[in-house]
Amino acid sequence: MWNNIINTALLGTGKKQLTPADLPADLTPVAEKIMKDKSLDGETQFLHIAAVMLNYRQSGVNPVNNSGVPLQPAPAEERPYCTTQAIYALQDALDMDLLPLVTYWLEACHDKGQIVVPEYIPVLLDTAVSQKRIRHLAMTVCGKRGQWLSSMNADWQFPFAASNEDRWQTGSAEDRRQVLQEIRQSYPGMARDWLQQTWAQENISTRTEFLKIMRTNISEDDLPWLESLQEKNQKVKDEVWALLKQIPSSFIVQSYWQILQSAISRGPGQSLHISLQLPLDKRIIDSGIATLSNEKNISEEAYILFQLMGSVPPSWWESLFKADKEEVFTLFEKDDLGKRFIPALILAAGRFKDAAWLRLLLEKSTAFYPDVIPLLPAAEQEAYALRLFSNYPQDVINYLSNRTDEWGLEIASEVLRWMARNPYQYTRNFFDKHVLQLPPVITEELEKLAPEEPAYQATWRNTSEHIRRLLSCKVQINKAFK
Amino acid sequence: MLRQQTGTKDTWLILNKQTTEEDNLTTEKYWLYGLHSFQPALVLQFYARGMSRPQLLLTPGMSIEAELVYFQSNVPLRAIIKEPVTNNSLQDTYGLPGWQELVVAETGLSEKMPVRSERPYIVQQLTPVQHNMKWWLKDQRDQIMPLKNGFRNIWKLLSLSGGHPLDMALLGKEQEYEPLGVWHNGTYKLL
Repeated sequence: MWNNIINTALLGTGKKQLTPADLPADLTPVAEKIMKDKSLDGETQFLHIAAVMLNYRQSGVNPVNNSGVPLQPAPAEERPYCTTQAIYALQDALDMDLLPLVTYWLEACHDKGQIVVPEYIPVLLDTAVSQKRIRHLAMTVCGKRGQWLSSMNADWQFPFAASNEDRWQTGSAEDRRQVLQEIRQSYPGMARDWLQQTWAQENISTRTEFLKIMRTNISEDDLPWLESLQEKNQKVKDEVWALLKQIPSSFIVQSYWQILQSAISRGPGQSLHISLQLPLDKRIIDSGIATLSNEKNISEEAYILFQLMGSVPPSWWESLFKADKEEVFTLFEKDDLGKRFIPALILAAGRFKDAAWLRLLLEKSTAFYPDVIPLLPAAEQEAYALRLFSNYPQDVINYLSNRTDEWGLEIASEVLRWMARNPYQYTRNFFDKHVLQLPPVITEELEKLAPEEPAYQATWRNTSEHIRRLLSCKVQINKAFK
Repeated sequence: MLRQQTGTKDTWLILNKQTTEEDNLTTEKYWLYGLHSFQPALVLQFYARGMSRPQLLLTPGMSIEAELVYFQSNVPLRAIIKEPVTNNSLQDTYGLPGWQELVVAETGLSEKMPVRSERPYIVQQLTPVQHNMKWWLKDQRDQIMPLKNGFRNIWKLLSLSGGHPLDMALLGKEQEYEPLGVWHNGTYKLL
């Protein structure tokens, strides 16, 4: 009926007129009355009828007698909701659009065994669409209602497996990577077993990635399987070699040691005897020992020795020379060629996770070795980094950026003081990314860290304000899930 | 002067706020509902870009004790607030039992003023359901009314409902309604 009115309006009353027969029976008396009124022209009559029709239509609205397709109600939750305080903290993190803080919130909520309130489920699931790494976490925190809701939206259908084994067997590549990493951390043997079982079905890319994960908690127990592998692809072979070279009882490390023992011996007093006649075999070269060096003033044989020294546990020298660490160190240091091998000892200490040797070597070192320092306890790491900061600011900052835990106050202060004087390099973006590593107590120090140059002071004031906001949200999250 | 007239004193629930911007002018629409008078009200605030925001800040999801004076109309809707106000958290109210009561109310209003805009209603125990590939709201008597096309917060609504009925504050007229907020576990949640 209403379409009739629209069509008449479009065509014009000259081409089409309404008659009472066109209208619902209820309106016939009114329509006839209007049409009989000759004081009105055709167009006005039409508008009167349209007006009446409008109100007739509006007033006649009725709901539809149909219960529709009923929704299966969502199952009841098994875990408690998070607190209102936690929700405020989440809203802050979302308002600041900071993924690290949102992730931090999700982890805290998950660790406390709580779930998020229903009205926040859509925004968290939307975030998980673009951020694959938090999908499993987001789904867990959204509880039963999240699973119920996502079954209705194709965008949110992330494959969600409940148990770790399910995740390993049926998960996405990212999921499998995450679960293998988690398991390798706590149950290294189980991780190796799982990988062994699926090895034949893994492709080159997954084999390479998963072998890298095996570096965590590598041990003798992994040796039988590793030594049994017959890989054809060079990338995969390289990863297997990298793992074997971390196991002291492997045949390759033993081979290296054979060569070193015959080349380096203790002479009378504090002297060292180094021979450059090295019996090499093909396996040594295959394992990744290079024969050409890119350094001009070292001979090929010396370079090979250097690499071999970096590939055996430094503690073995103690038994060979029947001396303690300090003496071994002195023996190498006093020798013209030997002292050039000291950096190799540092690499070896890192490779075989010998914290005691590392401590000794780093104490005496004036260079910064970021790769090995994670072996030391956090406080010692920071003391070492602090000592070398003024000479290696960028390297220290890179090392700190890669740490996942919070920085200590002292080193954080030094670093921020330096960053305050380099505002173009260290903008708000940097602090957004590293909010989880900034210690909350630093907010009290920010003013003292202001640069002396007036040109940088205004920028530092703004940056400090921003840092305060970030840390306030982090502290809120901590309090909410205490 | 409207402000000098006596208005309606009540506890007014602030159901939601809609903001539109056109030609540098921002219009804020606050939808209110009288707890005891069961009357809806629309409070408007305008400000131009660059102007500081007006002083009266209403918080959607809360309620206020205030006296409202309506602009003259056959079906009063737009109103102004006589100061001062006190802020409370939003309380429960009685809503209409179902769609039947709502369409009767709408017909009554159309009788007095055929050409008018949408207004808020509170309806009890509505559940979102699917019908003909669209979302509708079903009342306690298994009657359904369509959700307005383009309603942006359908997922939040579904998440809060979980397939169970909720009391809802709606905005609309004739045959299309969109929820402004719902009562969930005794608390009013904005959509």
